[in-house]
Amino acid sequence: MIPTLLWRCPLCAADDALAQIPRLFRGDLVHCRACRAQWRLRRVPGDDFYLKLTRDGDRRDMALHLPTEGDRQSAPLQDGAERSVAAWYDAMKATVRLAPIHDPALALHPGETLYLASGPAMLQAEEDDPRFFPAPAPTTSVSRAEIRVPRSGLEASAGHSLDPKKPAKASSPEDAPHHMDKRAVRGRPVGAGRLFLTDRRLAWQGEAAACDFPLARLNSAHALLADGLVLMVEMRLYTVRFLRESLLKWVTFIGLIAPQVEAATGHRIAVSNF
Amino acid sequence: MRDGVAQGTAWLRLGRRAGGERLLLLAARVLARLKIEGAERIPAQGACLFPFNHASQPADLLVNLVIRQRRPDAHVFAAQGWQGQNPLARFLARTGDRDAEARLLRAYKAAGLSGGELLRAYRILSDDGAIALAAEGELTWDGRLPHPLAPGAAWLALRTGAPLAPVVSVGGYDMQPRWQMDRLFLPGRLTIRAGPPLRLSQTPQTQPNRQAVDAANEQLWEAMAALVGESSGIV
Repeated sequence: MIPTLLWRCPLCAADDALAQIPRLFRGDLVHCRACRAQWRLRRVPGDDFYLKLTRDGDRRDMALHLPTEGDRQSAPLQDGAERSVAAWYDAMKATVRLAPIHDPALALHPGETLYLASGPAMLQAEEDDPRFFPAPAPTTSVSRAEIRVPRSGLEASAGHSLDPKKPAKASSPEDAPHHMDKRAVRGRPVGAGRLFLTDRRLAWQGEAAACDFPLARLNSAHALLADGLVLMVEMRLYTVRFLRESLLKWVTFIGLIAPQVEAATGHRIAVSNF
Repeated sequence: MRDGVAQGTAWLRLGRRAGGERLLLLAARVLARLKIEGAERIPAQGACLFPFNHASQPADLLVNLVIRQRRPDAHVFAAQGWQGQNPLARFLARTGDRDAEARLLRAYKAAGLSGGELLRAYRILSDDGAIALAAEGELTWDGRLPHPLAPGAAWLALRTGAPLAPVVSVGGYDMQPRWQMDRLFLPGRLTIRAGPPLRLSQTPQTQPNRQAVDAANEQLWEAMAALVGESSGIV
């Protein structure tokens, strides 16, 4: 639906505010819940989809309209203005900036800035990912001498120390074995939670587990069709499926922050086109 | 949605048995006013890459059909899912394609993971094989050809010296845009256009550097944009 592409109102710049109302034998309606603007969707076979503004919004002062250079449809927006969906998308993207937000659900480190917080989402990880699925601890009936796996290796994969006097060690990507061949990799649901993007990390706050993915260790962020955001953190794959918002918003914000990470650390994050 | 996919593949399987891929093309001519331009430009033999624009799944399916009519041996890069089996292989198997798994190359949605498949692609081209691949790496969001393209096609062309024969679809985006994949919009007006083969390097380059790949990628983007009819599709 259109809100997947236009995840922000191009007129009032409110996130996740557009809704599409299907109609039989007529073009669908798209309206903004924040500024009450309304469009009619029209498809031209072999060409594109067009959105015609049928009711202007209330909060136009917040909007930025920066038509791209050479845009043939750069006339001021007004009632009745019809533009291709791509042109509305350009207008929407022109409003996107990295701006600090606040969310009490995430405790920030000193000097850290939060840019994006998701609604409910589902996380999937590799089924042997020690961050979320520690290897089962040996049962009491098995003596340590019977464990064939080298202790350090088991500790590394489980992220825990077998020595009760030694405090449990938080698992980190360095501990995890690197898997280059993903053909046999299976995904396993971690559970529901929320994802946060700061200038330093992606933070997962889940019902079952919480985890930080430092941006300096994030290799790539790709959109999988329109379903999920695929993250690769030090050769480990994760998929986040957002239940109430567009994954394109997340791709866009990660795409905006990636150059900052590269400038600060030299680490390059590959991001889908947006 | 899964039921819809299963029903769709059942129709495709039935169509395949009844009349093969020609029936599918006939249906596309009726329902999507399919026009094919320049099919004679598709090299029938020799090593060749067929980059196509990733406009929509129905358009991509037809583009690959057109390529396979001239090059039945063509392999194709397809996005690899999480569950081991390739989603496109599963889809093609449901439609009755018996060798789907063998002719697919896995493209992972993660940086660096497709390296092994790129080497497999290199060997296929070295054996005078053909490979079709979506040059952008993923479906377009707004119907335009994204810029820059993913570097895989240009790297393979430089590394092997194989020509690139772009085959693009025009008008496929509005049949099933990425933001509404649960619906097929018909009728359509789809044109599949094959361009003249483009050779980025006369001889294989053993170690193409990033600048060379970027320059080659830009050349390929311009060729594809010209075919699609985009004057300035940079987004």
